[in-house]
Amino acid sequence: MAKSMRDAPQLEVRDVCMRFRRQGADSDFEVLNSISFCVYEGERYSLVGPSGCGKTTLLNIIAGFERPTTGEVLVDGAPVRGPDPSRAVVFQEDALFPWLTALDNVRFGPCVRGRRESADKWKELLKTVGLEGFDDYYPAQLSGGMRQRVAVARALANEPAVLLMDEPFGALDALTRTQMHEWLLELWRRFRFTVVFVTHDIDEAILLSDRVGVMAGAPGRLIGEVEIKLGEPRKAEVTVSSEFAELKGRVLELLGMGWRGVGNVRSRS
Amino acid sequence: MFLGQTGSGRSAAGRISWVSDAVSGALVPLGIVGAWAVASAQKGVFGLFLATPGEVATEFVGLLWSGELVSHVLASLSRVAVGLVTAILVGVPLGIGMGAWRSVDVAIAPLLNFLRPIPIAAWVPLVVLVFGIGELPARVLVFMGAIHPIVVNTILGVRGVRLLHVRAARMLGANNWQVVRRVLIPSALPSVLAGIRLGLGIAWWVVIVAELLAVRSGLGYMMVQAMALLRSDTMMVGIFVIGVVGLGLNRFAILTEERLMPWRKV
Repeated sequence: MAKSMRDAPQLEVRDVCMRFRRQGADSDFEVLNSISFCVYEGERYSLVGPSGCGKTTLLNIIAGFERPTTGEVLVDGAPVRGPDPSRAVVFQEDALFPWLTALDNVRFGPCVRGRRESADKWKELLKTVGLEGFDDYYPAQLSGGMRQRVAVARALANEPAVLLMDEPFGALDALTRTQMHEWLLELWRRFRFTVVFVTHDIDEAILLSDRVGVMAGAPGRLIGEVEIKLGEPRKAEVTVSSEFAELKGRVLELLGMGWRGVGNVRSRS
Repeated sequence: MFLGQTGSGRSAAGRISWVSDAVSGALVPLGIVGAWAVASAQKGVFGLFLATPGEVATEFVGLLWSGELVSHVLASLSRVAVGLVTAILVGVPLGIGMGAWRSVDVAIAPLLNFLRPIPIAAWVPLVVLVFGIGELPARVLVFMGAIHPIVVNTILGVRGVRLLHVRAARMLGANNWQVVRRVLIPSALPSVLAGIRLGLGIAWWVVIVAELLAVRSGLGYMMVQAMALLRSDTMMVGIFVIGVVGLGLNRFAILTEERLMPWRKV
């Protein structure tokens, strides 16, 4: 999995800055300060940082929902100009269309793009995400965890180059969230999609990623990256291993919350 | 049990409470009919002008048998249908325009805000003067009454569309038109249909008023005629039928909504 083997990154964020004009103030409000990173094909990349550090804004920029003030985002070498099926998003809140059944939500993307495929293909996809037999259920009839599974299936239906996930499990209870982690890891082993995962949960970021980008706030900036080398197939129980604790310690240090002394660690990474 | 809470269980207890609710609900109307029977049997003015429940029932059967009642109901309903459909065809696009574009809202909202509080009854003499007596003035009045709730609710529905849903459709590849058709319209639909249901209620209310003056058929006309002939029995049949048809229309609207929005029932 060395980077040199995969020469061109699938997603490249280049020097992205975001400023908002502040009402009645001379200076602009800086949300993101010169963010640059790359994600390679089939890689799982997490952005972790405190609330309000601009993670979601950054993801919205990658998705094409917002334009950066300066800098650019490239997907397979092409600059992002707006939302596009090449970048599918799984949102923080429940963003399924409540007026469509699970099946119709999943095939929404292919449908609006004029792909005529049989319902069986999408039923199969729902089965893959663990929702066999729930085709005709409306979102209101599904649990929070099931709705996010449909949301992931809907995102994957377009076969995107990059999957963007914005705290997709944030609203779920702790046990369901753990189940969803296992489920997502298994799904990734099957499809090997490239994914950018935004979260404020350090454990979640480490467990689900090959690399973790650590962000700090005010203004939002990337302060370091931690390579996550944990065995495959990855399982939730790895979170209680000593390697995991070691990795978590490094993320905490970057966030200035380390227990090995704050002063001299920054230079190490 | 909290006040106002009604039994809705599927159990035997639920069924018993449904029956007892029906009995309780019938008590007050039965009391009123009793009081009416007593009042109409008096010798004075009441007895002279107020028909007894028996007379009203006889008149009802007579009007039903002759087909007169049905033709009046159909005449009123057809005006409601034409006026309401026109109000929907004008009101929904207008509401979408006002909800989506500020310039349209700024141009039209002041006029509608001024017109809305004017009772439709106030328009009747002018509309009759301009359009004469016939179908047209009645349809115009129904249209004028029904359009307001439709426009207001469509605006609310369009403005209530969630940015998240629009973004979801965009990232899945939807173009502008697909966002309108597949996101905006279904998002706004509950609110729009609620507006149409309110409009239907008002239309039924307005058509009776319109028929008092503007046209020579329909339930309203039947009642003005009855007034000229001092026939309180016919008037009371009219009032009763207006109420029953009004209930039916509301029920029809609710069933239609459930049909059009299956996801709301779950």
